[in-house]
Amino acid sequence: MKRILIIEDEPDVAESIKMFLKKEGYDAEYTLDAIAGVEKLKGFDLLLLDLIMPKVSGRAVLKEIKKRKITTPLIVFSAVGLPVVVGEELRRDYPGLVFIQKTEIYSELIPAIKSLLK
Amino acid sequence: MGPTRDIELSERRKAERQLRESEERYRRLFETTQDGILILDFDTGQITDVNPYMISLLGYTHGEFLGKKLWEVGAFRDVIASKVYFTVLRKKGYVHYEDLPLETKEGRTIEVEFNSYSGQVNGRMAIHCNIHDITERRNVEIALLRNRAFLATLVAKAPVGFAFLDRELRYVTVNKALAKMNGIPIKKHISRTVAKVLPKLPAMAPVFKRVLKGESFRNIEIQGETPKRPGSPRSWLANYYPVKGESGAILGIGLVMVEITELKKAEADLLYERDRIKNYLDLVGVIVVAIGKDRKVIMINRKGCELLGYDEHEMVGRDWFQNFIPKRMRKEVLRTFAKVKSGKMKGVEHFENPVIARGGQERLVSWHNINVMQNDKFAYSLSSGEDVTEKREAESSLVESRSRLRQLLEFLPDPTFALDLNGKITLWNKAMADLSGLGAGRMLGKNSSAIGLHFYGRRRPVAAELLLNPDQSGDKLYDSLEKVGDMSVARNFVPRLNRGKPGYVWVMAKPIHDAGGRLVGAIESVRDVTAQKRNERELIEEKEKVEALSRARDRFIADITHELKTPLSVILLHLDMVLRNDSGRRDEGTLQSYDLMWRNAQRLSRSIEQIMHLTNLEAVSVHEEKVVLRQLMGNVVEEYLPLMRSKGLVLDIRGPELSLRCDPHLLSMVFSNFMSNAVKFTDRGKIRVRWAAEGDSVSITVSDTGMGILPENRGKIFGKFFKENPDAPGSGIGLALSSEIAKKMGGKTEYHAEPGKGSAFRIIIPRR
Repeated sequence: MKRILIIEDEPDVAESIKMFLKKEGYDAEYTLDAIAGVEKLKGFDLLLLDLIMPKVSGRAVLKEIKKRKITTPLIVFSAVGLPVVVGEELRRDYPGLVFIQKTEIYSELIPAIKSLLK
Repeated sequence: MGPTRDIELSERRKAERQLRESEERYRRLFETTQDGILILDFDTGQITDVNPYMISLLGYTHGEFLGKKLWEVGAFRDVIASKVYFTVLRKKGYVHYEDLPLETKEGRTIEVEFNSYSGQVNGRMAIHCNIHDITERRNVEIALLRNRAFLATLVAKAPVGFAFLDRELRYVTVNKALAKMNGIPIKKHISRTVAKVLPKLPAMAPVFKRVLKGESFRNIEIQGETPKRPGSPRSWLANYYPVKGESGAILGIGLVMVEITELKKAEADLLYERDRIKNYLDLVGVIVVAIGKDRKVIMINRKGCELLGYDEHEMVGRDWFQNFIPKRMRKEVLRTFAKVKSGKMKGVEHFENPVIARGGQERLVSWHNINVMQNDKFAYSLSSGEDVTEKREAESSLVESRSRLRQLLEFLPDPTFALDLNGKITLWNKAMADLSGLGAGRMLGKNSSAIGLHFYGRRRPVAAELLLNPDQSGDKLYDSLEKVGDMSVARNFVPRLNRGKPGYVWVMAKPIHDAGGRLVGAIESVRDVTAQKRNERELIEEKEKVEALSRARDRFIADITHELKTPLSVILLHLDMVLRNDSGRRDEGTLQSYDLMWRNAQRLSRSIEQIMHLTNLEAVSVHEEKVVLRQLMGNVVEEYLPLMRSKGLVLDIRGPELSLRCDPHLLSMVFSNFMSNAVKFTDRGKIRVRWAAEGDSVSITVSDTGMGILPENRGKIFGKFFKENPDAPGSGIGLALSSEIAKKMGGKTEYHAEPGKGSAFRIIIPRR
């Protein structure tokens, strides 16, 4: 069973996604602390990362991952206003990254995970 | 006594009477004649009678003559010294002396003609001496002889040729000089005609003919050749005059000749020389005029003639001052001329005065003048002149325009000053004086550092000075300093700008070049822009404030959308999970509730997204790909079918097979907005969707049979947050966003409608 780590500061969102992924047959776990997330990332097959977080932002996490040369597949999700713009911008710095709108999780997350873990 | 005797007697008486009468007549003659008469006794030679004239002539008394012998009278003593005379006289009966000098008693010598003859006087032989005083006649004769000798000598020796021609024009007399002149001996002239002797002279016959009629010719020039110098023409001055006899009849022609060949040659040389000089003078580009002491023009060259518009002959001999100097100037110029003439102006002098050309036009001439002296006396004034009319006019107009320019600069509203190459202030206009509180009197001539000192309180260069010293950088001296062509434009804060008060200036400086393009200085205008600057600053602050507000708003919108979308995403996720996975276990009413929740959560999500798009559209990039219109439209329309069905609206969708390159996401957004509006504002009737290719464009039109839009609102419907009905649902940003998206795609949106009859929205984009 593929293990997925969720870094998300909103417990409701984190819990909902964890529920959804479990339903779809994944071993999902979440952490509200971004730094702790990065530390334990090694044991996971995929990282689901929220972009906008008050303490340590998703961008800072991405930077740290790049710095540590961690190659775990990445899906960034956000409730940010302009998903197309943000997605493009992120892919420029982190090729292979998939960006999903929070409101489109139900329809887009599973296909994205499947394609990344293929 | 017989008759014969009577007759004889009467005859004798008659004879006696006649004799007596004759004696008386003779006596009277003897007494009164103007000849001296002596009667001598034939035998003794004693003087028997003497007439009064003889007494008065010789000064002896009657008694001193009578009874004396002739040679005993002093007067005759030396002359007829011997008795020879008497003997000759007695023998021959007469003696005649043509010219006998006699001495009077007072010792005066008189010349007499002496005639003596013997004859009967009163029946006795007597000697009759008759003395005629010829002193006067002799004097005249001597004078005549002297004259003749003088004339002869003169004629012979004079260096002038003389000749006398008879009426046939033959030489009668020729003097040596003429013979020499002609190169022919005197003899060979005589009795020959002029034409024969000198065949190579011009035919003078017509002249001679006129002389023979009484005319005289003086100093006529003739040219020709004589044997003296064959082959070379010679010149003479000839005088011909008629020679008259005592009766007044013209006997011939007197001729006086002077050779002037050398003179003529000298004259010709002189003329040649003069012409040569004249040619030179004509060639030179200046006016040359010579004026005699009588003020008349002696000579003027071609340039002078051209300037004055006259021919030379029209000017030479005319009073220069009267004719060619303007009346108002005449006195002064004449005074100058008088000075020149008197020698008070020595050497080369220079002055300017106008001259009047033909037609009264004046030209200004700059003269150089020298006096030509002959024998230490003024002969004439030689002047060379240059026409400086245009030059002076140009100069005066230059001066005028300079002063005009200076006045202009002086009263320029912008404070302005100028510097020369040494940085000295050459202009400090009124506005500058007003601004600084320093008058031109204090600043002109000062070094430009005084400007820095006054305005900045320290020595520092100003923009104009920087132009003069290009090595010096002004970057640190001005807030901004840029070059516009050869000008400097700068802005700066000035601590003591307007009479000590701080302010901002806008400065413009420009180098000044002379006509030859050489840098001669720089000019600087200063504008006090303190007030303007204040306004500017306020504007910038205002703008910054607006921009900050706008940024804050955008930030706020971004935050709010994030805050809205996050819980929404949770709601949607769970609704999705419930609807898709557990639908079989819910009753119809619950499912419908879930479905409504889901749909409205979706709508909320779209609205939030649209707001974000509209505020950040410029950041959205366009991703073009091949789009099949029918497919794209179908996908969008599908979303609205449930709502249309519930409202009972009919959908009429038609269009050709059409594909194009565009951003499908953006086009869907616009079309979706059109559909959303149509469905929202139409309660009955139908919604019609059409697409078509129109030239290079593609248009998509959505029309409805809804409420339409009031005419007064039609211009506003594409504005942000506009809603025709404030109470109507929606954010009022759909059409504004559609319009912005169309523009971003290189197209536009249009609207056609009538209130109450429905609306039609169209997007037109380029077909690629």
